[in-house]
Amino acid sequence: MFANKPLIQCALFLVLLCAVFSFATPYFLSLDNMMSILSAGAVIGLLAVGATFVIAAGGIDLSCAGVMALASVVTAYALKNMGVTNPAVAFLLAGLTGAFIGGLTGALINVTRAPSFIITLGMMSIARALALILAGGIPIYGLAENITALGQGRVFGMPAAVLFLLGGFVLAGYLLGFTRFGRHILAFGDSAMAAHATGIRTNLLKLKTFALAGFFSGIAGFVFMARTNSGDPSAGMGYELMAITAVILGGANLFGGRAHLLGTFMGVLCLGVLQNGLTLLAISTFYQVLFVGIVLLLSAFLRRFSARAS
Amino acid sequence: MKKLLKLVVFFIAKKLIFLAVFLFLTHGVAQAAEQKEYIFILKALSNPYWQALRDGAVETTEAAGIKATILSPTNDAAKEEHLALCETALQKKPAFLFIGPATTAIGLECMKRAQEKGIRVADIDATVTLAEATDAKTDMVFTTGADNSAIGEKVAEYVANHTPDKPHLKVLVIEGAIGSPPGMLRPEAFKKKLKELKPDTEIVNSISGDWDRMKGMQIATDTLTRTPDLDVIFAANDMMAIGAAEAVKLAGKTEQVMVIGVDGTPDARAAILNGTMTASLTQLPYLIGKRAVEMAFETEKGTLKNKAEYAQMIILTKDVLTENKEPLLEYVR
Repeated sequence: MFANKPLIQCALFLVLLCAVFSFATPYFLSLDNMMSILSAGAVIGLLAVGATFVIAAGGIDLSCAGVMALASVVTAYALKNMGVTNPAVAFLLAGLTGAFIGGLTGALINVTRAPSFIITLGMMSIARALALILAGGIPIYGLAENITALGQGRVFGMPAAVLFLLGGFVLAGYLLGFTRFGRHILAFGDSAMAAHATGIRTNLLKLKTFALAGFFSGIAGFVFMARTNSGDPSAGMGYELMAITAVILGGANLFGGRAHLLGTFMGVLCLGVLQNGLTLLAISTFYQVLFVGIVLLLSAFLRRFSARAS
Repeated sequence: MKKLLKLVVFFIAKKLIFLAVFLFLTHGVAQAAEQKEYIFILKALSNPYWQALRDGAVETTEAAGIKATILSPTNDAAKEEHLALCETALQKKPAFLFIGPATTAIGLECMKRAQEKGIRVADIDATVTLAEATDAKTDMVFTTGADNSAIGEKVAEYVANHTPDKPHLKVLVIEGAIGSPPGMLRPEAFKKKLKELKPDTEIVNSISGDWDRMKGMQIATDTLTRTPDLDVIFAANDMMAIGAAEAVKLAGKTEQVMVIGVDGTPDARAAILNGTMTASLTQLPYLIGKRAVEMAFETEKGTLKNKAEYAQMIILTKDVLTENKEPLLEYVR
């Protein structure tokens, strides 16, 4: 039965949202607007990719938005003050900054054996603070055009930011669904003890998972930077929770063992469509926040219902 | 029974989904609304400043028979949301777009995107300067709003004028959120100007209160413990000033410490009238909203003279509020 598949539920929900908005406002259903939804979702989407891995492994990452801000500041700083001009170098720098902080997070979790919630909560503050210190509290603005083109330009009619988003999801989908690494993450998320007993090197696995999540947060920082033409130390405040919301909407199990990148992608789209549609309808912000809450509760309810039905 | 319920629910769900898909597929060719529209992208609507600005803008727009649409981000601090709002607003092809951008960068990016679509954009929070827009090769129609540095300077002048017999002032400055332009520019300009006017001034502390009332109170309490002979508290907004004024009241030092905020919110005016707060500078947000729309009209008619027009400001004190002689008080909301 379709109802016991969280993925299909999420897809149906998305279609329903789109239908309602297409009916309610003539501006919604246009290619231009779809692209605008995708570009607006690029940053949160890439954060959600990282969050999917962490949640699949039974952890939680509260530091992703802070890491993203740090990566955007480090990269913008290097571009403005250290003579970096090559976009590929900038891209790598952002990704590696994220991966470094992520790896550090993983190592700290291994050493302290503390829950990821606590360690990433600490890393969230540290990453944010490092970004503020490096940038002196204000955004680093005004990057070269070859960089901003990667966030604002179009490739074959498709906004570049959207390509990063899609590329991130395809790569991550491959890693989680079709590699041994991905299977190990899911097995570890399902039961850490069992995974350990089968010979998976769980400490290394955790380190790699958080480094990978950090890498995607770093890429999110790069896209943010290219899109807004600035490295901003207070970028994306609160985005970590949006990313987690998207992952949960996409049918992942918060306690690990089950996660799907396609689901996360649709979760991101649900949030993006909701925000875009309500904005086009000029519905007050206060209600937008309310709707996001209702949607999340609704998905929890649906899942409970379908679990019982099956 | 359970099975029946399940069947019924699935049946309804299926119908709904088919209907949804049908609507989705058939509704692509709907007509756009014909009425002329102005869109305003504001900052936090939970802030009385933006509420007053909104009222001024909406009333003036609607009085001219134009549709006014207000948008604001759910999360002011995330910044990127402002850009997403801008892109969404441009989909509706408004006759004019007004934005109070989170940062200069966001403002300029929004203007660039609007320019591509041939839509006029103006800054209503004095965030992007004309020079910055020219540098970025973007076409900003005009900028209006409150000049944050001028706010700090004006408060410094007020403090200097009202403490002629005290050359050695001890001053606490409560800054806004780290990284926000008004939160940093107002205190900076205040300190600089006050040092100029009264070189012996001692800034005992200058620290961020995050725009938060509780934090304002906490900072004032701690500072009063360390510096019992404090003379002046300047907070970058009224929220923090009110918190600080509460702390001063609890310490029994209302007569001794001057507390000044910015915005002239209803809460602050009540505090000024009951004597807990000394003064609040208001940028008359209602008037800013009204003027922004009038400037848009002037742009459309081709009669706009000044592309940068900064807000008029008045300092609200108990005397100003009770005498009610100041003509601009009409715009205090």
